Amino acid sequence: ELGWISKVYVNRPAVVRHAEQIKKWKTLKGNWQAAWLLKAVTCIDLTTLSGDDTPSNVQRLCFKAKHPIREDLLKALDMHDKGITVGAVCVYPARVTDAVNALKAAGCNIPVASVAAGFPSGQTPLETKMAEIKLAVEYGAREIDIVISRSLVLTGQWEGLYEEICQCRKACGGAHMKTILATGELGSLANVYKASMIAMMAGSDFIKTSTGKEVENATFPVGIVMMRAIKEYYWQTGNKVGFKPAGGIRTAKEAITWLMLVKEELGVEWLTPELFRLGASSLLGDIEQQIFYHVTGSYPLQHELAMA
Amino acid sequence: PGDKGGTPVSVWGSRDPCWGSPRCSGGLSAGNTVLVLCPPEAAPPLLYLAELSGEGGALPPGVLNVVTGPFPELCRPGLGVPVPGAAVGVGPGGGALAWGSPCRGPRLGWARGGRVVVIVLDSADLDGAAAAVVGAAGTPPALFPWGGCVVLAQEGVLAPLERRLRARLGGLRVGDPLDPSTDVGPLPPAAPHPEGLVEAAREEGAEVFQPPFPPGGYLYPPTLITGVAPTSCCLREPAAGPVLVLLPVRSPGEAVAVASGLPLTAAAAVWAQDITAALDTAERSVGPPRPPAPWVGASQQLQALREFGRPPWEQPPKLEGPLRYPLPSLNAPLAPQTQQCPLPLSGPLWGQLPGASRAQVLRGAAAALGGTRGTPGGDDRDNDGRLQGALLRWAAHAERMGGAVQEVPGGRTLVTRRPLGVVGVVWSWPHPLSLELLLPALALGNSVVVVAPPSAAGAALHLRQALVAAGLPAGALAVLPGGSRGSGAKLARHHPDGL
Repeated sequence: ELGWISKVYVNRPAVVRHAEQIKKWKTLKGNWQAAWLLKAVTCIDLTTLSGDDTPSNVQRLCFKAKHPIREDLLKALDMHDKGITVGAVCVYPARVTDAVNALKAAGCNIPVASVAAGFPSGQTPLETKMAEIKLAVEYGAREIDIVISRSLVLTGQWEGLYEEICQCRKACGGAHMKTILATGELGSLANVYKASMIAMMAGSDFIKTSTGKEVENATFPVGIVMMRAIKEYYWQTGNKVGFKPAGGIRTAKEAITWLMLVKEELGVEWLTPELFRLGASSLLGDIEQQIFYHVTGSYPLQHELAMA
Repeated sequence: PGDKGGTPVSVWGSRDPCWGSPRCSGGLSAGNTVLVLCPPEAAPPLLYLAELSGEGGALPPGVLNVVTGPFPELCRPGLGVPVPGAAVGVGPGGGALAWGSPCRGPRLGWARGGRVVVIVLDSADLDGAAAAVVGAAGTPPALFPWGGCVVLAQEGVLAPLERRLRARLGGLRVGDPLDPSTDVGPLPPAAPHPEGLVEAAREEGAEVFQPPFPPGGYLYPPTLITGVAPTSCCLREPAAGPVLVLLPVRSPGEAVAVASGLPLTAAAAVWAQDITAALDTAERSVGPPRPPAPWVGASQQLQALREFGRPPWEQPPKLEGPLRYPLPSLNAPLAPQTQQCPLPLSGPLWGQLPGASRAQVLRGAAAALGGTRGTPGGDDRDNDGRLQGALLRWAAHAERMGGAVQEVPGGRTLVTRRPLGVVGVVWSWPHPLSLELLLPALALGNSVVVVAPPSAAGAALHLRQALVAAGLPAGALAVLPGGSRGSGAKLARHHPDGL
């Protein structure tokens, strides 16, 4: 429906101002903060996307994914029996098998998400993108994070973008597809809105802000624009598409601010791992520190919390 | 302060508590002693302020005085206070104060509470507009009496905007204003409750959207009323509280017309991504009666850049430029003429001239004044010299005062200056008539009505003749002989834009 994106207007200064105000919202304290932090933990996609990933560090990550917060801290909050795990584990396609095996060994049902389709630049031919997606699904990934071709957005080829994402959707088959828009490279907020709408129309289950490898990753203005697109799509079609900010989220305070923003723009129904994920790696450590502080009253030493 | 023999120099009458206190602080910081008269319902914040300022010796005793009592009896002269040097009337009760007090000093005007009008054109960022409107609906200016917010949306975007407004209004939290997690505070005391108007709107067939809320008390839920017309009483009568009224319009021109027809607008905002449409709409809301100072793109901020009246590569004019216009001759005798012209309270021509034309008129007047010989009165020659200098100075200002671009966090703000309109000036005898003070008002495009005692009017008429000879339109400057007592009130009855 090209008509939905033909008249898109985004007032950039207003969005930036709105984002500035959000940062000034009162911070939560006490039990409420602990509750929101645990909610954030369940929405994390624990990620390792480096060149030096090997089976050993992927296995360590998967164990951390099963026990994100130290057991006695959860017991102190009376949440040890609620099955608090992260939302998913995100790795490169070559490491999917290791991740699947590690999670099976740990006895955990968390999905493994694989990045695909020429991550992170997307500048590869369509055939190799399809092949990568199919292989990742074969290896056992239940979620695929695909990357769009930014050149199609920057040159305004909306039908081409739609076709590309549709093909990726077909290659994913039954797997859950997240479309990474790489908003730092799309040029303008209006382009971000339009690309979000096209991605949703082509069948994405989630739209994701960035790969985490760009210069500018998930910022609040971009998040606000994407969430408004999700809301508009929901009003038009009744389908709820999820949202995932990724890259640059390192502190617990930022995580809570993202949750509050989702609640304000999209509503409480989006505050579940089925519709909201946080792509992060070191964030879990910071959240665990804040929970440690809430329970014991002092910050932990390095050896007191398990390494991810 | 009383024990040192100082006299108070400001009297402030305050009806709306939120407006009163900033004004007090302005007077205090300038070194005045302030006496605040306010009715009981507006008293609590001011009494609290007075109490706090006495604690710890923050202010010496007697500097800030708050007297509460029934308005307007409180404003009668003979209150037993020393004569104030200046008076400010704030709110509708303030009018009685300003004109009923024995104040011989300047009246500093009063602030008008009022509605916020938001015009949303079809090229607007609807989410941004909805977020800003809902943000403004819950904040104090909208909660004043005669407050509230009126949104005029072009028909094509009315339905999506309404959906977004409903979604956001449902998310506002109403409660204790001191709690930082609430967005909307209680209604101001002694304000007309909006429930009556909302009920009347329902009876007229309007659609009223309110999130569920327990009734009663000083808290009122944010309300959206659609399906009304400008004749509806919820637009014609004051209603305090977070009440939003949404009206459809067909075009930017119609939006300006409807907005101008609403009583008591305090501020206006235009939302559009099409810069030319936005600025054009903002400019068109100049004719009287107009919402003052429309903001484009957001509340409280103008977010557009445009060229000024002159291309930027042209040099600004020199102060003592060569005179290229013919020198008019002023040989007629300068007897003070009584002018019985009706008060020219619609003077659009002068204000609509571009700054360059106004500057030309002022320079011509300077040249004309320089050319006269034998003006009556010895010291008039000095006056003329000073006047000439002032005319040339303000001519240069007139060309440059079109606007300015200022950098603010997050971008740039374009500020355009527009004339107030018609300004009345009343001079009292025996203060000398200082004509230079008229020139700024004229240079910036206002029409001025001067009331001067007959013996001092000669100089004013002399200046007027020079200006008219140089090309000033007939209604732009009027000099009326009259005393100062009572003239102010008579001028005020015609509702000038400045006094």
